[in-house]
Amino acid sequence: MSKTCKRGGGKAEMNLTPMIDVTFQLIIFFMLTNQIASEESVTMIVPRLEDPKVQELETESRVVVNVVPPDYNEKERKGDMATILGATDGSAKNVRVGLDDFTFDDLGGLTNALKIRADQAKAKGQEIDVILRADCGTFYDQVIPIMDAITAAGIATVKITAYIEGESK
Amino acid sequence: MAQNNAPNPDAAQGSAPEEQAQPYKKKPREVKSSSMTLNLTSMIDVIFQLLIYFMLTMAAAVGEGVLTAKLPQGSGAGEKTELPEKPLNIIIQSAGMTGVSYRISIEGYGESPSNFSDLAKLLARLQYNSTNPSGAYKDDNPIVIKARSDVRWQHVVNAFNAGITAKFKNIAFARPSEEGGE
Repeated sequence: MSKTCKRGGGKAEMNLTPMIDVTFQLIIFFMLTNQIASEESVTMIVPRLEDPKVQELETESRVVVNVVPPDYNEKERKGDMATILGATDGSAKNVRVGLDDFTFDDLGGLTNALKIRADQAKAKGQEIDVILRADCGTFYDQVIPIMDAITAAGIATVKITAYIEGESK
Repeated sequence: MAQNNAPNPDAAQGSAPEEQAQPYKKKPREVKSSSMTLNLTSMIDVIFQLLIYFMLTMAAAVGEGVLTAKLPQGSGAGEKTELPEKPLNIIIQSAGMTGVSYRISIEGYGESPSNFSDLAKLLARLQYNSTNPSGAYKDDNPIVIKARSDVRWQHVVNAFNAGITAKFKNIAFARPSEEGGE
């Protein structure tokens, strides 16, 4: 009897240890992937289309080729498309693939990097998906050399990034 | 005997410290029945805040989709696609001071659509299919987007999107051309 009385004195408590373990794992996962994702995708305004037919991307081996726009003031690039376009000079700073930067003088390096990635994907029996991400204000002649560099790596198609209707403002 | 000796040094220090120590000795006895636990609530609060933050910021990368495009043919080892005799060329020129606006025309056709929705409609009219037997181009007829070098990427992708809207399957980019226009 006395034993049961003593037990009754303690509060019933949930064991929180496994929950905290799992939560920490999740936090670490999101922190790491978040950093990787933000490094891979350069801040830019991708084209907003009239009646877009853009699809969501489902692919495993993908390479994002970013045409990095010059630094811009985000406040100046708000509003309608004419304002957004007018606030840039249409130039591009460099090209970023993953965490590597390539200058426009070193597009051969970009080709080699893509070739290596395409070969790695081929070894796994996958097709590589190259995603071309360029700012909406970039001039066409800035994008063409990069398309050429991708072609030179033996890749015939790219995926072009634009906003998906409904998910953008 | 040894047990009796142990507390002696404490007693030798004087009675005052012993009196002060007594309240500390009593307290643990009162809470003895429940085990000592760390209060985890605040930590869990913070952890959940962090978790929610990272989950939300991660979702910010979404919102972009893709259009599959053929690259301009060049010196590379890319797979060669043969262009049939009659590709449909969409010509885009920039207009305005900074290339904010644009002019679209289709080579061989007098019409110049004022925006990309009109371009999509025009392309749909040109396409031959069961509902539009008067169209001159099959859906796999190549469409080539010929943009001048100072055309903004926004307009190039928009023209590409118009081709997809009109259900053409074979759309490619051409190298920028300087001829034609100012």
